[in-house]
Amino acid sequence: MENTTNQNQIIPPANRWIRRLKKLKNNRAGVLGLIIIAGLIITALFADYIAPYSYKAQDLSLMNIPPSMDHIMGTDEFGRDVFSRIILGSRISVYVGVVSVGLSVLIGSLLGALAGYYEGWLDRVLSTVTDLTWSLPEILVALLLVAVVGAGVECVIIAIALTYWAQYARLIRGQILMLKNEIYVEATRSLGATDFTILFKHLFPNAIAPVIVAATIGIGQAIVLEATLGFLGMGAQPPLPSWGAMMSNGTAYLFISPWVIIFPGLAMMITVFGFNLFGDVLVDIMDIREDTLK
Amino acid sequence: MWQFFLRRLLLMIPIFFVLSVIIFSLIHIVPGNPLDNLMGPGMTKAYEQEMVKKYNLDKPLPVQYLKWLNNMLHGDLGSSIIEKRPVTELLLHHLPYSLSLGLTAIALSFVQGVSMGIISAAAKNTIFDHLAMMIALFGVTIPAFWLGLIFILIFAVWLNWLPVSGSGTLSSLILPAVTVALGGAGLIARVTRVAMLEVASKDFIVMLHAKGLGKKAILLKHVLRNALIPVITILGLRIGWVLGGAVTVEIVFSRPGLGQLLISALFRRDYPVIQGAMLLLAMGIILGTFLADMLYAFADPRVRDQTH
Repeated sequence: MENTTNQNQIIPPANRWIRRLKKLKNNRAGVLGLIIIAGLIITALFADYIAPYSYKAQDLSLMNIPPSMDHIMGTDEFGRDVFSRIILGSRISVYVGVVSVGLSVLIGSLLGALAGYYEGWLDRVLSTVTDLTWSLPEILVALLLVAVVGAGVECVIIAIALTYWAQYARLIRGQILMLKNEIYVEATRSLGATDFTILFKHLFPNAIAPVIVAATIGIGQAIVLEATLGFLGMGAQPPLPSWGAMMSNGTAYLFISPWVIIFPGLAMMITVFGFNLFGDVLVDIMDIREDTLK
Repeated sequence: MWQFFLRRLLLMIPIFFVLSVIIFSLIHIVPGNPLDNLMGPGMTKAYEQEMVKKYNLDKPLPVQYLKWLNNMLHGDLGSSIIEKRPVTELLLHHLPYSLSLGLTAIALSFVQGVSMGIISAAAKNTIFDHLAMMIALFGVTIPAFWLGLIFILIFAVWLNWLPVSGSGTLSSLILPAVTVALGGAGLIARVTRVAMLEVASKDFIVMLHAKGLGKKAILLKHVLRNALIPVITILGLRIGWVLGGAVTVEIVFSRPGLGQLLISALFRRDYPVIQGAMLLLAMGIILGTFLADMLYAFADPRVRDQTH
């Protein structure tokens, strides 16, 4: 292990990534996670071509049909093909998951970096807000925000971003606090670099690794949170098929057509499982000490 | 210990004030006039006057906040716009259902999580370890509402062992409590495993092995006792998550708890009820964190000595 850390400092970044890829190839759990994530993204991109039926084509003569050869996941209460709706629903999940986590990483890293770099009163104010947000249950914060901004996909994205940023702020702050006393920072400063250059050009790239891991797992969590809000009737509005909304409509027909609920849930479970698996493996590949993630 | 206790007790007060400001702001952040949000359909001019007077809407914001705070501390949280009943009365009606569900779920998740953690730490890198951690990962990742629906299908519809929904009997508590508990148990199992493995590598444990003490005795008596400290912290920090998970589970099992009250109030934009329910949940979280701190200090004397 000590040997690899030594190499890390000598080998240029590009080669470091190639080495990480090689490490990934030997990790079966990581490959499985990656396959699931890639499958999800391909499904979302080419949903129109993959789905055998239109997601909104209703056929009232085919209401609540159990899974069969024609409809491998059955049909819902309007005779719509459940499989096609799950395929189309992956779009909203991926869109909400990626954009909301991207936004919250942006907010979190900016605030966390400022708090860690400048310390003092700025740190105290930012850290208090961060800890307070972090300690509240995410579903309640999200619900509160949806109550303020309203329902719908964009509102859900804003709500999730404003719920999740705190964990990234904590991570970046801790990393910056640790890194800013390194000799290379001192050297850069003595060469006349501004705070801005030091923070965003030198410290940030070195502090971002744990955030990438947390964000990978975070996308899975955001997809679940979106589905939960959708289940409570506050996500994407009909006729857009989101997994949460599908399950929400399905509850009324739980005893007649349970497949309407079972399959979207399975799709979501596999998705989240994939992101978790890949995130856990990333910890290993990127040589992150596990306690930094707590 | 008493000094530590008092310090933590006093710390709850500023946190409570910050939260109350946030929750108070809710009605004013929402787009539109707060009066529109307080008015239901078909309400008269006289009622509007009453609302203005009741919430002091003609006064500046800080004054409104202080009046609201004053009323709140006297147990008056306003009345529901839709149901025309005092919010306090509604909260007290729904609270027992949430409390019984939350407490049962916390106890269950602690027992299940710690035992799973012990098994996988004791049998590190065996099939049992992988299996337990797999279950834990699923527990963390599966959304509570979906699990609840699947449980209803299996245990209430197909096997017909337990009631589908309801709130009166003990048997109607089992399914929702297990559903909420599974998520918490997954987290606790993972923390327990890591903590136990860490403690097991400490010198004093190695010494106990050298002295010839049995493996089981060491694991359960010495390793577990020290490993439980971080577990208690997680439990306290995550009490809010349990309450949050309970919100959706209450909907699935039609349990008339705070979650259901909150969601229906959100849909009807019944702001006094939203404020009241949020405030009560926030207080629950603060209290939970406080209790965990106390347990933590009780279990680990170093914590309470540090803060002197």
